[in-house]
Amino acid sequence: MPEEVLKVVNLRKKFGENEVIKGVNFSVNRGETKVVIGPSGAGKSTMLRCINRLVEPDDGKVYFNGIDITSKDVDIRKIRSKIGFVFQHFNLFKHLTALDNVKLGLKVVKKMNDKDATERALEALRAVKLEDQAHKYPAQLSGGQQQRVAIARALAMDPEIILFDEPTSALDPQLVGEVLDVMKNLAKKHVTMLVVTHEIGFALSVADEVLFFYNGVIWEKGSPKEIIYNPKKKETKDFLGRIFELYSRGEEE
Amino acid sequence: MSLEFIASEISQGIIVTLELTALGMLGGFLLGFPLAVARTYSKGFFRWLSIGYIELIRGTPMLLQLYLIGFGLPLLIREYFPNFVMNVFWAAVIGMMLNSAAYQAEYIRGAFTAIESGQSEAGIAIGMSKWQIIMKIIFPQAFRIMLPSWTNEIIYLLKYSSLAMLLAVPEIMYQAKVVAAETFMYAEVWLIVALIYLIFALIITQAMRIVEKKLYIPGVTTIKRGAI
Repeated sequence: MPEEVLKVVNLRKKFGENEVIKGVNFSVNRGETKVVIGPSGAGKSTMLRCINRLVEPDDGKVYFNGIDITSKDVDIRKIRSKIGFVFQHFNLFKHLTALDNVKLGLKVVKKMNDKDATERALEALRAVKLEDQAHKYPAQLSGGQQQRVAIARALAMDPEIILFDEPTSALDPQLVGEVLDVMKNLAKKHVTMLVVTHEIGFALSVADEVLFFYNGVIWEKGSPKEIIYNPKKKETKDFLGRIFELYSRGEEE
Repeated sequence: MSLEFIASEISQGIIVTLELTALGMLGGFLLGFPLAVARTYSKGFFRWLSIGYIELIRGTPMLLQLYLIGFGLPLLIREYFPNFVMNVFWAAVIGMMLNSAAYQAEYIRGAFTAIESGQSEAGIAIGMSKWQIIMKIIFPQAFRIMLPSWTNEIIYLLKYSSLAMLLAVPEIMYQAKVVAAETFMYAEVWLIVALIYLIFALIITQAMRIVEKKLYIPGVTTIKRGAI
């Protein structure tokens, strides 16, 4: 019996009159990688942010290890420390070195002493192959390196799941690979992940399931091969058609 | 004789001026910081209290504020404690502190808003509290961003501490007036005083430039001249 780390039930969110999430349902089991694809600006990020309540959902439930974390009774900060979050724009702390970026949460939230925090942080930086850049400030790192530090920062907290919000969308094409490699490694080590991305290749190689988010709901879901090569619904086909067209444009010319 | 007299009286004044500036600056920061936090990050009562305070102080002359504290407040207190005597030095310090707090609050607030919200979100996402985010993420960057305006404020206080002479606080201007009246060397004395203010202003500017360089972190502030 697989263990459900995250379960989202009938999640809804409105901004003014505009309902962007119209009842989303899905779950993620321990050790799984699930990939969410879908058109930009449709609410995928908002959905992800509702999970750790960076955005407060209007309705619906989010169960984390079986506990409803939308309830006002839970200590949401404690829950957040167990849910990693990787942002599109990295959001590193600019005044801290890579090492201190990773250490901050360990010291301030997990109350680890400096020695243990340093050890743990270096271990996380090693996992993203950036141990040698530990003493550089974010401004001295490339976008790809910054995003890897951000992944290390999430990883160091020893989260039960990591949420990725389009982690490669702000990167130059030649830097996308190094970030995806790190993520693929995590997937192979069975780190539980929920990834919003346009990287179809990533979905094909490591996803256990692909969710197509469209019109405020999970429109279609299935194994990566099913969804990507053989989608059942017209909207899924249209979306994937546009993605393939975008990625193969050079070849046609 | 008169030169020694001038030198000793004025150097006593310098010490008082520097004390007024330092205490006003420090007190202004200790009060200005919570005002900035309230105005930027709280909703409702504390936010409006902060806005009200800042606008009240900025909208009235500092001299008037010093008069109110030096002359008005003691009268009020004597209604209840007839033997109360206000120490003019501390009246001036309190006045300058209350005044500077409003300006420093705005400098700090400006620096707060210069830091993109993504960093705060990252703090929230790893489970940090609002206060931890302000102290560990926002303030260390805001402090560096506000250093140039802080230099401005120190020099401003250095010069406007001269208003304390009107409360009979023996700072430079007060002392200078005394020695000028006794020696009749008005032109010389005022020129020397002008030079003293200028020298201290330049020292502060230079010292703060060194502080800016020492605290420099790439990506948070810039010290090199830009391309244009």
